[in-house]
Amino acid sequence: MLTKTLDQIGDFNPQLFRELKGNLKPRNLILTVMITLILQIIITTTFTDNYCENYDQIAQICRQTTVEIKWEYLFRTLNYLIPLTAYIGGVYQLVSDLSKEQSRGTLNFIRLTPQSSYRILSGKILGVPSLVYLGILACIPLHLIAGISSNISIFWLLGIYTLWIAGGLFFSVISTFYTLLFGGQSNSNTMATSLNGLGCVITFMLGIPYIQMIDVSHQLYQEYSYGFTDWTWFLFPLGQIPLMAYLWLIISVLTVTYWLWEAINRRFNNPNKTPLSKIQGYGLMTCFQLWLLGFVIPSNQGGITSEHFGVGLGFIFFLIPLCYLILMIAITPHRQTLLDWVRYRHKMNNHQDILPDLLIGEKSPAILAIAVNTLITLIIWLSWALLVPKETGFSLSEFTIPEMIIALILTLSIALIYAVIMQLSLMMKTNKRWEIGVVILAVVMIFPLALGGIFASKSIDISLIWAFSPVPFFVFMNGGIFTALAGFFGQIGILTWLTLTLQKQLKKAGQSETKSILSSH
Amino acid sequence: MVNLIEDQKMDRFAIATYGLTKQFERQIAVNDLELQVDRGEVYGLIGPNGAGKTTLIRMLAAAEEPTTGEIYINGERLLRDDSNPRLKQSLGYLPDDFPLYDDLTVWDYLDYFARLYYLKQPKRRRRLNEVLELVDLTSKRDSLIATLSRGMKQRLSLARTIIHEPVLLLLDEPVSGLDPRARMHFREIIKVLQEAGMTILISSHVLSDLAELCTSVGIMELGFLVESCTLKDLYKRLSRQQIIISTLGKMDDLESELKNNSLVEGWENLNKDNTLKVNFSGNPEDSSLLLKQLILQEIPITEFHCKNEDLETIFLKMGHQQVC
Repeated sequence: MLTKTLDQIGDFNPQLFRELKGNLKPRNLILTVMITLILQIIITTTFTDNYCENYDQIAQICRQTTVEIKWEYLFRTLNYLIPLTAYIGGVYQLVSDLSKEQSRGTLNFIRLTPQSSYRILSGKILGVPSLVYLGILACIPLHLIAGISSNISIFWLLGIYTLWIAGGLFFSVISTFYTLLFGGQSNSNTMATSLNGLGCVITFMLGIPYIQMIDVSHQLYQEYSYGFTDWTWFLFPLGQIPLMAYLWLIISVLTVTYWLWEAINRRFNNPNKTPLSKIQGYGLMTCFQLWLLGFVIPSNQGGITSEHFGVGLGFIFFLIPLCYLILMIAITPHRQTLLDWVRYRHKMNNHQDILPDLLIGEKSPAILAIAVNTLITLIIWLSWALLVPKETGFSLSEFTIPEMIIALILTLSIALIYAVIMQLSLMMKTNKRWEIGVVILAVVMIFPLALGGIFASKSIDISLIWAFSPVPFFVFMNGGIFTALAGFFGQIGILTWLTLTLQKQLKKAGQSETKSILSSH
Repeated sequence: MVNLIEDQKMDRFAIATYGLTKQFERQIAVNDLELQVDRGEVYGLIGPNGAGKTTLIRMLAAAEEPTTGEIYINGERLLRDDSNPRLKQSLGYLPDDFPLYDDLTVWDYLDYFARLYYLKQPKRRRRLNEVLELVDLTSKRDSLIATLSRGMKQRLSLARTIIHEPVLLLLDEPVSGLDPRARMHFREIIKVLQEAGMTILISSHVLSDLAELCTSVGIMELGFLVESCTLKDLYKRLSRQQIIISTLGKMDDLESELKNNSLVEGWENLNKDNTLKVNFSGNPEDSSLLLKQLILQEIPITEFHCKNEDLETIFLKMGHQQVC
């Protein structure tokens, strides 16, 4: 029966067939189910109390005991344990399998077959962690019983399961993306182990808040917690209508997963390509920022409150710069691609003009594309800033509109500096250009922060340093608008110097061999 | 109209490349290469290490993206993306380092690849049995790949490469590291595939193997295709006639007689007793006259046979230098 089903699966998705056939051996199946059952018994026992109904004082023994399972505690514990095990277990297995395939070189053969990347990758994602999924599936009946016994409606439970699945898809896709991006860089086992370790830590850090959000949602909607009911996204009162919040969350998670899915398919088909094209980069950055904007745009007539304002500042000065870094990595081409581009651009007939090529070309440097993203960010967040009433946010934080605009420009221009540094690092000759690039970027980011912190602790006021840190708005902590402007011109100076260096390097790389030989004599 | 003619021209070839270039860092591995291979040919690619053979084959297999240039397989443009499953179905590529899944059995490995190439039952089972028989691994069908010898693994890789009956086979150093018997076995398999009508492009350092298998050869050097023609043409143009002569008498007598023949360009004393390898510029009639002349001079000839210079000698004579 199992063999026949597997055979049918194999005709539809050979990769899934290969993974399932490798994993679903009788010994593995029995072991997985047994381990899961034992764990379920242990957990249930932990949440079971024995009460003595009839205690015999003379014999000093209990004649009748009642066993009571604390269903709600059990339910909530499983609420964490099940998805966390699924996510970390799944990520662990996927990262080790893919990094092994990459270092062995077998993935290249699969790439050369007529199967689509969608089929191969979905086969991997569904098949590699199949034993983990089986173990989780074996736990669901207990979770379901615990939920129903804790008076949780079946619809709510179905909501939880679909959100878990959406989260699982997200983590599977992101771990595949991460391994395809970094897994092929080294053949060593140490590299594979570190990739795996880091993957699990990241999954834990991202997974816990997501799982917690799903877990506490029932309580929050039941108790109509103060503040939570005010939670809106654009015009949608998510804090009041659970179904709306559910749809919002699942659509958001699936949308992110879709973007990552597109990126891994691009990368799988051609490992030399950047994970995202420049056009995808514009789309992703715009969508993401509009999505963020939803949190800081009020749904009622009251206008932007100080809470909205605080959250908005958090987005602008922390979250968006972080996303910039990720975007830079995703759209910046490697050294070889750039060398090919500068040397053979005249032969590549896709885009004749330099401007369209820089804006949407697959192989061109990403600086202009990042600058366009900067412009998109400026337009979105400046429009928002202008909507903020004076009496709310700005008065509370003593942050004026011009100051905020300058801080925003400073943040985006420092992000551009990071982009050029990253591009320069990826132009290095060494094979470790990725690692060196990340280290250089980390030093460039941490050094001004550390310096600013040391000076601040010694009460020495050098506000200008903050303009060169990843958090340039700190310049307004003690400094005024003139310090910020000085910082801005300093940034422009650095940016110009870095861009000219990059331009020089590209020009040199683009010289023909004959010219470089002649010029060296 | 012009396009149509061009398309028809390209359709003729199993492989056609135009301005194919691949650059790694500042080193050009393949330089503006124009290669045309007719359908049904066995094309041998020779050249020193670092000449760009592997890079060229990897690009033809869509395992490597060209820096510039175009590749057409059976008249269809080859691109390194998801867009050409039909073209991928017609290609079979065996790299020099054939990685395998050690945890699978021979049968499961081939079955997995057969499914990846859309082979359905009952054809799949039949084809698996066919290729196992062809590569002589039927007895090992249930063995784990990890337990196979290098020669067996190489044959298994070839079986994987041909499982879907590709029309174009790209073999990169397929006999490297094999013992003479395994090499012979491999040659036999290639001949069977050639008879089955596959176009085969094969690179090898063992030129005697290529001489036996190929209908055409291409010589690569420093990324350029410096020679591309049929083997017959190559021999005609570059191979000198040689005559092996053995005598029971004195070598001095034989050598003095040879000096009298104007068509004898020189000779080489072979390690065998009283045997010379004579470079001869005449035609078969001239060589017959030489034999007659030697017999008339009562030189006791025991061996006299004509042969052409082999591929290895031609290749070395062309002065191709090793890059590394």
